[in-house]
Amino acid sequence: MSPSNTMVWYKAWTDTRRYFRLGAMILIAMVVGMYMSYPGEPDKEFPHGAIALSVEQVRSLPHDARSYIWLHWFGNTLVVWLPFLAVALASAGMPPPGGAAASGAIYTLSMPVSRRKLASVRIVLGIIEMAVAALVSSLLVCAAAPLVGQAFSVRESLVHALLAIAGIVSFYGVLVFLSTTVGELHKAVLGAALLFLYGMLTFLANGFRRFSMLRLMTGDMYFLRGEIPWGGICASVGVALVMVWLSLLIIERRDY
Amino acid sequence: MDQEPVIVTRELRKVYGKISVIDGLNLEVPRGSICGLLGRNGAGKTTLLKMFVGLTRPTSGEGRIFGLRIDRSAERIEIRQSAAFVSEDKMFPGTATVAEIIQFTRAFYPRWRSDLAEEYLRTFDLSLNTHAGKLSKGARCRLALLLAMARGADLLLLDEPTAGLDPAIAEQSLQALVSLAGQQEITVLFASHQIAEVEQIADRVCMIEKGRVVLNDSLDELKSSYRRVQFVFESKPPAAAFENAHEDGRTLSLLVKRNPDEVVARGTSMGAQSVDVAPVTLKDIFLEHMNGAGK
Repeated sequence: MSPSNTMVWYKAWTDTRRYFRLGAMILIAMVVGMYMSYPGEPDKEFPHGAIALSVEQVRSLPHDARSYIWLHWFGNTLVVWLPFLAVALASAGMPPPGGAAASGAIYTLSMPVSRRKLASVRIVLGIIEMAVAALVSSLLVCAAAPLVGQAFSVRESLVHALLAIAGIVSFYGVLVFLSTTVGELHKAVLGAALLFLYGMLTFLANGFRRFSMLRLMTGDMYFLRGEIPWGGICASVGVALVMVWLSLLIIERRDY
Repeated sequence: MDQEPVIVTRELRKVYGKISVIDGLNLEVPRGSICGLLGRNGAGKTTLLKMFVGLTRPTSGEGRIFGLRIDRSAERIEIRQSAAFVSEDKMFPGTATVAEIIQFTRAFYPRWRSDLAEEYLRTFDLSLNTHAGKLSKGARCRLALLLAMARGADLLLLDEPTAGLDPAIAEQSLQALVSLAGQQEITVLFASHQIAEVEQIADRVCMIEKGRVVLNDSLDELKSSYRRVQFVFESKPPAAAFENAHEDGRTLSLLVKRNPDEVVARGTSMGAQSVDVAPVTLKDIFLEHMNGAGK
């Protein structure tokens, strides 16, 4: 890799590292918190609900450590917190439509490198950072389980983390698109509105649950039946690719 | 020596909505010159400089830097390999330190001058570990100049390069710029509202108004060809004696290009009691052209 290419990656890292570190630390703290509050008798303090499952489905689960950890971590905490990291990473360092100067984007864009490369690296690094945060915290779930006398399969944990990543990329793609088309305040409001919409579709409308990005992220099909939701993965990645492609077109053609 | 101008534009135009910010601009900047770009607010100076480095795309017309077209993506990248741009706001990514910003910039320029960078770090009193977000406006300006001057560029495009600097540092910066340009035959195009600054370091001056060039000449040529002619009459000067003349009581003054003798003779024939022909400053020429263009 040439020094300039290395620096494009390094620049993207300096733009995003504080959000990545904060996001990873929060996720790790959540794992620690989950095990610190691990009940002596999981059966009696079993969760009553989950993002992807109905109350009846939760009740019908075996009340064991595997179900408890999945419901807490993959079915809830990771799915709730990863979108916040996506919001931060999608906005950091991307050349916004207004206020490009204030963000230092003019300086970056005046370097002898194409806008497509700058933006692509920035977008890909954001996905890598979300993946690392999800994988590290999920592997910690396995590593720390013996501390409470339990175990959680590494393979299962990796598959769930990868499903969470596959689900979040569509949301991340939409956020990247928003960050290139609307201003900072609008971006925050729209990001929050999208999260709310996803939540509404998941919790309130059973018919829409199967279209939910959050459901894909929980990996309920894999947990309950061992099936990989390829349709959802393809749809999520497809949405992400379209959004990123549109964003790159806009960034390449915009006047700063 | 290659005599082809470094910057050439032909009928260059940039339109935002219905507003022509650059309106058929024709400009040539010779290699090795230090050209001051003067104009009122909104004249199109910043847009022009941004077009030269590909931050803004021209609507029509032609622009070439080192013979490379500014409307082609691949050629714009080549232009940025040989040119340095200092923007008006001089903002940097706030999360990066000064050292990281220098490291980032250096990676793109094989001719990076580490010796100059270190010298400017000392001269400009910049700390490597400070985050860009915590730099004062003056410090950002000094960092921007360091990055522009140390990268070994053949062309410096500077938008208000000393805005925000105290007079001492501004003077140091200008001297450093002149010294660098002299040593390496760099071409400099800098936009400024500081006419004294332009007069101090520029060897060429380009004035633009409403997106068009109204004057583009060497500073020496300008100063030698313009004269201020002032007549004092016994009473109120004759009405409409001269076009573009400024009347103040019994006094009439006007800026004359080339031969002032004809104007002097005409004023004398109209009954002027005294005539004074004096050299002019760049500010006089600027105001005359801006007032003329504004009419």
